[in-house]
Amino acid sequence: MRLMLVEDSVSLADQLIPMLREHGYAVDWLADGRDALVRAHDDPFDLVILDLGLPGMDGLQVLRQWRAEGLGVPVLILTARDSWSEKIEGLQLGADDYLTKPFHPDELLLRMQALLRRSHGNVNDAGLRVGSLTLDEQRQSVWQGEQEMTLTGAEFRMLRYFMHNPGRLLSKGQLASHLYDNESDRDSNVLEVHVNRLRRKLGKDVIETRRGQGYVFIGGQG
Amino acid sequence: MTSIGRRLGISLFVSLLLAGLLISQGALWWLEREQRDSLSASLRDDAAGVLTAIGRDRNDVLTLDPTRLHPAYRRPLSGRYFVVLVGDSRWRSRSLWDATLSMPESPGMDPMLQPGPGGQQLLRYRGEYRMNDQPVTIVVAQDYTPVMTAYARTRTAVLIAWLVVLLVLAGVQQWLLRRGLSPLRQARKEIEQLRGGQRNTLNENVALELHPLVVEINRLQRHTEQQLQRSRHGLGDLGHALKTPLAVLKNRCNAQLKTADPALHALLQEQLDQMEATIRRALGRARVAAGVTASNRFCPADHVPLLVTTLERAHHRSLQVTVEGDQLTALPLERDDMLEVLGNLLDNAFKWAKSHIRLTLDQGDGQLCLCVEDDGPGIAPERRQQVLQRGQRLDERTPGDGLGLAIVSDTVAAYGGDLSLGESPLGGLQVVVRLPLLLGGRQPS
Repeated sequence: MRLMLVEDSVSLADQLIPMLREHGYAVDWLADGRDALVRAHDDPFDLVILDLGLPGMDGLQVLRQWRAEGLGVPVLILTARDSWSEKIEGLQLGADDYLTKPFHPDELLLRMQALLRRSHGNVNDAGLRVGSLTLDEQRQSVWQGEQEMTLTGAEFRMLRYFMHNPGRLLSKGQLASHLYDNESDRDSNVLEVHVNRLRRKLGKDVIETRRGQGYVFIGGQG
Repeated sequence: MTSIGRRLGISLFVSLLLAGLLISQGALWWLEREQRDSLSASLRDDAAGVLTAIGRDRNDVLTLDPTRLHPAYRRPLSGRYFVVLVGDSRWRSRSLWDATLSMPESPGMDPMLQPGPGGQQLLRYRGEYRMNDQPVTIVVAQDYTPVMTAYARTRTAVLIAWLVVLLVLAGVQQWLLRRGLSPLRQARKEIEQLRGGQRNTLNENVALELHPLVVEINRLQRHTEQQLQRSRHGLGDLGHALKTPLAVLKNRCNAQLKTADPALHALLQEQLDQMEATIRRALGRARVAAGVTASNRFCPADHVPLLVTTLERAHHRSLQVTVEGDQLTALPLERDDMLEVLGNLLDNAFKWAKSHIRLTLDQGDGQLCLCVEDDGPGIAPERRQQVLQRGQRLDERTPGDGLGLAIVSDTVAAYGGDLSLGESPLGGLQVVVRLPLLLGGRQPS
């Protein structure tokens, strides 16, 4: 999952970025509202965490413009402005969730997970589930029926993206752009290695290869 | 309170009444005097007429020739009388019949009326003449009562006419006053609308006398709004400046101290929580507008559905939300304040409800009554006061804290309203907020 963090406080960003990466998110950090405005179109972000009091351009204005330009990326506003009229304004402008500072990091992670599930049409409130597979995002492991399987960080990241998009054809380029931020190395061979590892753990049929096109996640059958 | 219209009306009416009475009485008095003067002139002529009737007979004695007298002197009690004194003889007109006519003491007109025969009031004139070297005194009198009754009639007629005119004038005056004061009434109506949220500014196209007042009110209004906007913005900035570092500290504290030094972690966590609560509550209190602005009104019909949708989106819980009485239009309460009150109350309800939330709005008796109920666990009676006072965390399991209720309580207090916690028929907490809708509101203290 690729996300954009728009936050002008360096120390908060310094805390959030490692934490988010630890939880398997590819994070691009921007501190200026004007940069964020443009950048959102360049990469296929799955989620934006947006501060409101930004230098350059206010967060609400950035959001308004994104929505006017037809950008539908889920936006979670993370701000110190905590009055209800501001919350309503933010949500009216097209934000999908609103969290006020100071916040508990776990709360942020839970809200992000719920938001990502909803934005991919998954109405299940409890967690990410496809077929017999259930992803435990806290422990970064997957349950197949009653059996828990541990995952490496890279496997977790890939499986999560697959599970958010079951039945969809995903090219290697698409996978790479959603799994890695701009600072990471992108090597398509690495993707293949991770796909094969997932197949070995979850069963051969879980991920189907469409030669020359990409992969389709089918999900565990039993 | 005095009314300019009533005061003007009364004083104008009294002055009209006084002026009318004085003028009519003065005119009548003057007319009567004129009449008396003309009557005394004719009495003098009458005396001269009587004098010409006195002649000399063959013995050179003065006699009165009745044929040369006016016939009215011969008809009894005709109202015209005379007495002539010549030497020792005294002639009376036949019209006196058996009555006597007393003589005025001095010659000329007698200023006093003299009672005469048959209830008549007599005006008398005494003339002194000489004839044949003999003094001749002639007293003529005329009945004045017909004139007096005529004057009394006239006076009544004039009074009645005057009263009618006065009533018509008073009516016209009221109409003029009303017309003259209509700009004031219009301004008053607009001010009421301003307070009621039906308009944002007063119409500046008014009478010259009112113009400075209206302009000044509009200016103050704008100024207050800008001031509020500025201070809210400033508070937002302050909040941002304080809360981001707090978030950094709390996160660091959680990430690194929790396992390494649990005691220090607990201490820091508690202190940081306290700081956060203090900041939030102070900012919440400072943000309350409580009746200082007139625009930006709370309009339940628009704002309540918006708030409920927002909360439903934020909480993602399949709860049944019933809203009653949200058809009210603009109320003289500030929008952001009311959103804060309802937002916090409903947010709590959304956190605690098992399946059902009910919001009831009711306007009546000059107050707005908000009631938020849920079917959650509620708050034990002995803890309710505590919750409102200290903004305590109600439960650790649900994110957020009881600070919302404390902020609501502050806002309600600033409006001079009251907040009470109770048990809902639904089973959970019932929060009832009553806010006065009187004009003016109360300044936050």
